[in-house]
Amino acid sequence: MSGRCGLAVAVAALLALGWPGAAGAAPRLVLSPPRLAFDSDGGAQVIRLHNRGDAPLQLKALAFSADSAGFSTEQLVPQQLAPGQALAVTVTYAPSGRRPQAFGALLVYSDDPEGFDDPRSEERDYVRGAALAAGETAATLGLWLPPLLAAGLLLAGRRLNRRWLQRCVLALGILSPLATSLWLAWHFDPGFTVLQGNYGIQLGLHRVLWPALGLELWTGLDGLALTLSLLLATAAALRLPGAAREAGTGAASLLLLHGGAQLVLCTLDAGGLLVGWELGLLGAYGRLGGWERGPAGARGRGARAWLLGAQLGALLLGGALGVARAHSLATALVDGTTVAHTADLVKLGYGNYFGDLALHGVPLDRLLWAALTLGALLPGALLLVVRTAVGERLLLSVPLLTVGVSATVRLAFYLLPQATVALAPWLVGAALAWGLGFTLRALRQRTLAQLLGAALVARAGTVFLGLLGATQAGVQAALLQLCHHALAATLLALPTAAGGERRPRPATHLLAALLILDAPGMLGFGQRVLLVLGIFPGLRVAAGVTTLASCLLTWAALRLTLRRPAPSRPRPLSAPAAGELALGAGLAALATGLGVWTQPLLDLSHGFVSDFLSHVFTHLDASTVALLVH
Amino acid sequence: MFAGTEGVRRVMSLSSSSTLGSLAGPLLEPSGLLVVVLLLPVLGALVARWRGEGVAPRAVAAGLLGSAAVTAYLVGARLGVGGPSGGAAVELVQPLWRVLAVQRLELAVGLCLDGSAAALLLGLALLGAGAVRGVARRRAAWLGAAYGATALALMGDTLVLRLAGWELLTVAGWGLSARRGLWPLGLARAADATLLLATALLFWALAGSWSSSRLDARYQLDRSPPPAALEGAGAAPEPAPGPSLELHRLHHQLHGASGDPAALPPVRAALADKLGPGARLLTWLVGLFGLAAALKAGGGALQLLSERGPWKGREAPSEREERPRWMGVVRAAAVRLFLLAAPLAAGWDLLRRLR
Repeated sequence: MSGRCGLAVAVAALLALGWPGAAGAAPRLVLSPPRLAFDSDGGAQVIRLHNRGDAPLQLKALAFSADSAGFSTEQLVPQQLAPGQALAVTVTYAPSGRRPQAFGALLVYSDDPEGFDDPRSEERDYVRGAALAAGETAATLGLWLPPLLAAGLLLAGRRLNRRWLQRCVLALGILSPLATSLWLAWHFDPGFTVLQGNYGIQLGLHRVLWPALGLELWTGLDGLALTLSLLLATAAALRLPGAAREAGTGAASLLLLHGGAQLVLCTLDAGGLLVGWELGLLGAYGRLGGWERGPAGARGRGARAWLLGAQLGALLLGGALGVARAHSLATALVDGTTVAHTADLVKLGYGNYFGDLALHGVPLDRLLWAALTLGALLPGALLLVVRTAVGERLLLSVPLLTVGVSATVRLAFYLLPQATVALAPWLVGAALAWGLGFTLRALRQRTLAQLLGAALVARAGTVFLGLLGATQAGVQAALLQLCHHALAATLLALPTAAGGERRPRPATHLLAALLILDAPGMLGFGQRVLLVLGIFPGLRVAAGVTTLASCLLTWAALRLTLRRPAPSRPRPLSAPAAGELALGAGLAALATGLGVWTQPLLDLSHGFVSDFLSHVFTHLDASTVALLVH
Repeated sequence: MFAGTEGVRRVMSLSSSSTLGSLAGPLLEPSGLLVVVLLLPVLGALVARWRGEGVAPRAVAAGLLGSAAVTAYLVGARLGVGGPSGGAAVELVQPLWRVLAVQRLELAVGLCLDGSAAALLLGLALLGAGAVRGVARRRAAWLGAAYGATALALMGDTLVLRLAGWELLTVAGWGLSARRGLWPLGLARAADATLLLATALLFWALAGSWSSSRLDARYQLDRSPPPAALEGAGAAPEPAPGPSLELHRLHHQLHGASGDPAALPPVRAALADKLGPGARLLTWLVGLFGLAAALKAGGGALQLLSERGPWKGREAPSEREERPRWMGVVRAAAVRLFLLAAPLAAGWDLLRRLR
């Protein structure tokens, strides 16, 4: 009884707190509609300013938030609105330049006491805003489908015992991001940069979910996100034949992994990124056997230890992002609300301040940079210590390396460019040590398959050499390396990918060797040449070491081919093996096509690379100078 | 580097504006047959790899002889007296496609052939055709592939394409050799690596240099374009300055447009003044390209020296039994000679083009 009384008292207290008090009469400005959406071609729309209060409202001025280029309205004569009265204001949008989208906010200054105060100005403001958007598209939400379908697969569980239905769900979850990525690539303007507006982001969807917390839904793409999204969607599609033969849990974890990775790539706010990150980690945990029971499950394969390490990385990421947010400058949300600190990753990259803050004598931005980089790369690196089958780990390395590189660039490099330049030699040294260590390990292998696996791991470090080479060619080569890694890893793990036998067939093995050892005409050759040429001005030693490592690996691979294996009986071509051969042929064609005609892939990230170099580095490369001269 | 036929037209107009007395570099002429010189031996090698023992040597020999015939036709009808310049230094070009372009860095696939390269190719094709008769299927395929790689190394119009030819030649030469020794292979791979690094150094050296200052040893870009570019800025047909990997542009930048051997090549002079890591850039460039060519030739020589004993692939027993002993010795010698001559020709031709 006393419990019920206590509950009643608590509810009454809450109601009393929330109930509008007997305050005096006050005006209240309401904008209707609260959001105006324009076509990308431009146009005009009317917004009504209502006084819903019980006192006269003094309208003072109209303005736009800082990034509202293209929007305009008539001058507002300061006037008074009686309670219940409304004023119609026409807002016009005229597209400017190459900007396909526009986001902004109409700000109305009045004496509404509940209007928000702009922390950037000293005086007390009373502002209400209405979101403005032009050419907005929700297409990026297509990339969010896999986690939802994965949740459906997991929730349905054993009830979904119809195999064909499960396969259909899996196919939908894997192919929808691919179709979405292709659609986005078709509508993407590769030359669009920060100079043209929207911070270089295209095809975005930007909404404010909770203004008081600065919580937003912000998805969009730049050249990096689109290239990597396409890459991941293709890599997931290549796994479809093998995954279709798996149980519901395996299929769900694959969807979670790739869906989470897509979220990380296209989400532009810290909250969404961390959600995607966690989903991806859960998916990877499932692929490592973490959801299986028994001694062969999580503990037996080291999946739990992996998850622990990966969560430590996520903690580093989240903590560092929190500190970065605390040091961000005040900014306006997309509906005009101003916040003292933002979780918008794009704005965070252009507006944070650490000054001389230090922790135990170490500058704070250097510490954050290290935490962000380590947190982003830890899940991929920890795959080396897991005892799951090599094929599955190779396939897992594709999404984990891709999102790791994306998060490093988007968070560590973009948020803290000065720390990036200062700590670049350390990261280059680490990448070189990684590459040399695994090259030496590859040279000691006794079979070609082991050598190729180690060579692939060794080469992953060159991504950071390219990114820190500070030239267009270097950064493009780094992105090509990710594509090369995806193709090579899938080829090397083809039996796993195709759901076939454990041992690869000689033909697929040969194709993997050609790709990984940079046979001229395949993607690896062009990527290596571009990398060495790109990093040569700044990282000559790294260029020499990379070239030497590649030379040694080919030498070792040819040496191993002298050891002919014992002739084996020809195996009958089972259905999985036929799928493996078909997949291998397709991958070889793709690798060769990209090797002899790389330009379309490079074009996608052209604008991003320019922005990246100008944002992070101050160097110009030689070709830029030649261009400027003429 | 040529970006499609537009590029050829531009270089053609450049050449045709010059009189015979004052040639602005070699006179270029498009030809669609260059790719045939490259493809015929490759086709022969593919047929040899996948067809029976009896057909293989004939297919490769046919490919090599066909390639030699086309080369001979090009020498006689296009590069020699039949050419538009009446026997002057004419070069045939065939741009194919562009792989990638990152700002001024362009990697394209195109072929070029001048008299010296044609003579080398002709000799190698005849040597290979003589050596291939009666050899095993796989070895015949390797021989065809090695000739195709050599043709790429001699006809590639960019340094990267030549590097691709060098790398293919390394593998094909290794497959062709009887011993398949690791030292010749290592030396040849070292040559490939050196060529890549030399190419990178040359590309960036044309637009800047490396300061020797201990305080600031970073790469420094030229504040002004090379003198040749300024001099030629008034004249429309001057090739664009700046870094390039295309052999014609490199030649033009290093030797200028005057064609007077006594005149000081301006970009070359600028290059000689530039600083590299610890030495003048020109010294580094000469050293690295020379080292690459020497290593390549050294790999071939080592292969020749270590070449003895039966081939490691499966021999065709019927051919081995039918073959007279002296003929076997001659053919083995021809294969060995090919193993030496192909890398030697690739290295020498590269140095000749960059001299």
